[in-house]
Amino acid sequence: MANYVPESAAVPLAVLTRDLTRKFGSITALDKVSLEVPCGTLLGLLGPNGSGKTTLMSILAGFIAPTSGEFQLLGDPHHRALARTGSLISRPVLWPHLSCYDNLRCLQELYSGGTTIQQVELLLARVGLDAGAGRRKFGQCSTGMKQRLGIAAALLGNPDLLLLDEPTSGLDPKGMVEIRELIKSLGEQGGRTIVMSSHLLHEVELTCDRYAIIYRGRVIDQGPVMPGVTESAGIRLKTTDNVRALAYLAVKGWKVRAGDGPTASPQVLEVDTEPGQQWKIARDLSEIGIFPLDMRPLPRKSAADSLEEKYLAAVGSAAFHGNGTA
Amino acid sequence: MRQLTWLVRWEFFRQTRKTGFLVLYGLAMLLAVLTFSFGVLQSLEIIPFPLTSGYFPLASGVLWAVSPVVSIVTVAFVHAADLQGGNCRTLTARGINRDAIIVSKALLTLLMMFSFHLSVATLALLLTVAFSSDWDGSGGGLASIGTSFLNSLLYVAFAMVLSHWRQSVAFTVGVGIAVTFLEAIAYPLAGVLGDLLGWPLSSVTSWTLWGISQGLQGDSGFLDRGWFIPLATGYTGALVGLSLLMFRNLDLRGGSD
Repeated sequence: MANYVPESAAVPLAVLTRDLTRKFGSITALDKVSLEVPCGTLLGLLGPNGSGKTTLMSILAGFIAPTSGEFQLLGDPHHRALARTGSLISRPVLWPHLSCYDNLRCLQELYSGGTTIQQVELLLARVGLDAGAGRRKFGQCSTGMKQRLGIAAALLGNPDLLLLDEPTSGLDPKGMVEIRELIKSLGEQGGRTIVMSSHLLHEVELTCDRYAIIYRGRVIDQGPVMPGVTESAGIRLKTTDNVRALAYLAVKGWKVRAGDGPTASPQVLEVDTEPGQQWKIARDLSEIGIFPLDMRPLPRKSAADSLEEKYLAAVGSAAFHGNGTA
Repeated sequence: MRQLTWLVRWEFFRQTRKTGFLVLYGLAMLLAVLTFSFGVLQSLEIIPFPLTSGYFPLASGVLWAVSPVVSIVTVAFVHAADLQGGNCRTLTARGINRDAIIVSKALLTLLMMFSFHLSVATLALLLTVAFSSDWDGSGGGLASIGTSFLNSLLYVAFAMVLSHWRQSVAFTVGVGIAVTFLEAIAYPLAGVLGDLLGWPLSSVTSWTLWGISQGLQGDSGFLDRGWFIPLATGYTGALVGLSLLMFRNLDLRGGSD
C-alpha cells in the first residue's frame, strides 16, 4: 500500500479498498472491490443476501483476511487503525454468562485501559438501556437488548470509524427508529464515519448520506443519497386487518386512506406521517390487536431519484449482464 | 504487555464464572478424593496393603488417568468455546494482538492444569503425613506427578490445535478424548501391526510414541526414562507453534456461521 495514492487525495478517506478479493474455496465472495469512503460520511451498504456485504465488513473489521487486494482505514494501515474502529458484524457477541455491565467493563478496560461505572452506565443510557438491564446476564437479554449492547460495545472508546452490519436487525419498529436516530446522531458528532449495511432501502434513505450497492461480490453502484428523498411524506401499509386499521387510524387522528382507491376492502393503506414517527402507527394498531405485515415509504413523485429505483436499476442491469460490472 | 496483562486478568474473570467449568474441576477433584479414600482405608488396614511410598504413587496414577481428559476439556472451555461462540472476534475487534490473546488463554490453561496437579499432590502429601505410618520418607511417585503435568501440557497443545482447526467445542472434545484412548494402545498396536505386515514399525514408534504414552513406566529398549522430558517438551513446543500459526491466520467465526 506504500505506493498507493487515493484518487480523491484532497479528501481524507476513512475507508479505502483497492481490488479487495475474498474467496471461500471455489466461491468468490468479494471480487475486486474498490471503495472510497470520505471521512465523516454515513455510508449505507446495500445488496441482496449473499452479495458480500458481511464479508466486506468482516475484512474491514480485521476478522478475516482478504485473498488479495489492499485496504486502509482512517488513512493508516488497517492493523494500526483498528484501535479506532468500532464494529458490530453479523450479530452482537458478548459473553452470555456475564452481566451486560461486566461485558462492557471488560471490553472497555481491554480496549482503552480503564473505565468507571459511570462511563458504562452513560453508554448503556445512550443506547436506550437502563441500569437494571446492565445487571442482567447477556445470555438472558432479548434480541433487541443484545443488539443495543452490541452497538454499545462498538461505541466503547469513542471510535472514529463505526462498522455496523444490519444494526437494526431484530428490533421492533420503535427500536428501529431509536437506533436509526442514534446512528444519525453519532454520524453528526465530530466527523465520525459510519459504514452501515442493511437490507432495508428506506432505512439507508433515512439514515445515510451516501450509498454503495454490492451485487455478487462487486460494487455495482455508489453515490449520494438524494437530499429531500430522505424526508418521507408517509408510508404504505399492509396489516392483518386493513378495514379495521383504516377506521381505527382515522379515529386516532391519522391522515389515512385506501392505497388502491375507494374500496370497501382496501389491500393497502397510505398514511401521512412525519419522518421517524412511523412506529407510532404500529403502536396504535397494536392497541386493537392489528399488526403491520408490510410498511414502506410512499413512492415519491421524483421516483427516478429514489434509492429503490437506483437499487432496482443497478441490480437489474447487473443481473441482466450476468456480472457485477457497474 | 499491558494488553497481555488485561487479557490474562479478564480471561481469569470470565472463565471462573462459568458454571460448567467449576463443575468439571469439582468432578475431577471428587474423583481424586474418592481414589485417595481407598488409600485411607488401606492405611487404616481395613484393606491390607503397604503404603511405604505414601500416597504419591496413588496420586500419580490418578493424574495420569484423568489429566489428559481434564486438559482437553479445559482447552475446549477456554479456547474452542470462545472461537465457536464468536467471542474471539469481540476480543480482536480493536486490533488486539492475536498472539497476546492466545498467550493469555494458554497461560490460564497452564495455571489451571498446574493448580489441578498441585491440589492432588498436596492432598497426597497431607494424607501421607496423616495416615501412612509406614512411609519411608521417599518421594516415590512424586516425579511421576511432575511428568503427568508435562503430559497434560502436551494434551493442552494438541487440543489447542484441534480447537483452532475447526473452532468447535464438540470437535475438540470428541477427537481429543478419542486420542487419549488411542494413545494408550498406539504403541503396542504399532508393534502388532508391524509384526503382521513385516514392517519395522516398532523401531519408529519406539522413538515417537513410547515416551509419550508410557511416561516413566518403563524402558522401550531404545529409549530410557530420561527421554520422556525432551520428547514431551519437543512435541508440545511444535504443537504450540502450530496452533499459534493457525490462530494468526484464522478466519474468526461470527458465532452464527
